[in-house]
Amino acid sequence: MYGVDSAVDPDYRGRGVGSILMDARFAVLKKLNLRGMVAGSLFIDYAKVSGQMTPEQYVQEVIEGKRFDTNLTKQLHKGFRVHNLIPNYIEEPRTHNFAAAIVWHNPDFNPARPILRTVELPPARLAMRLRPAAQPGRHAAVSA
Amino acid sequence: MNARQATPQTAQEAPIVILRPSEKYFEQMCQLDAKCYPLEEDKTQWITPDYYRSQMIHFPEGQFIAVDTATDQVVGLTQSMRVDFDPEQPLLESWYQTTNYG
Repeated sequence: MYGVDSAVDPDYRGRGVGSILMDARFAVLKKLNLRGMVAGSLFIDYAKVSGQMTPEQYVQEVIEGKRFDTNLTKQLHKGFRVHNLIPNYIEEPRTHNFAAAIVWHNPDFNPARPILRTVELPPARLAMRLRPAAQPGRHAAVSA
Repeated sequence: MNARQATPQTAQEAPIVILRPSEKYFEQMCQLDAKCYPLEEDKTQWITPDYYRSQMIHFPEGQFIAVDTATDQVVGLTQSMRVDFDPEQPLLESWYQTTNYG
């Protein structure tokens, strides 16, 4: 599976919306018995430090947990790993047109099982509560 | 302005639902994409309701949106495609080549 697009409204970021959207994708690819997922991660917070370091250095620091990136840090938390950097991936000034090729392996992939063309579509209607927006000095209680 | 302060109280309380995209949300999805991935080039020419309609035809299983039930607004989206790839050698090309401009 290839991750074409993912976006969360800036007013709703950091509260579990992107995470549950990604879980919905993972559930589908497990049902289809796909090997995993690949995507181009747009590490958009590179824009803040692009005068100080190369994209390679920045991504390395995000991987090491020294920097937080709105997209890549969360994708790493979901179990994606960076494979390589792709120049000229898309017009995105914030990453100087780079993306990080990220891969997620389906832990349930079974080569003995067929790879399905389609799955029955359940009426996807998962409800979730937003995690409270993080506030200084207070630990956000997870209710999702 | 601080985005967190701008978040209305109702948004914190209201449940979010994950749905499959449908006709009534395609226009909102275009607007959310433009908000999150602004491009100098006018992307509105090709990120249109037809772009999302087409994805629902080719791979409906891989398409989801998050909707705030208090406002009926799309607050998150995710689109997927089926591709054949080797997890050890993903060799991604540009987004445009992989998706054939979406």
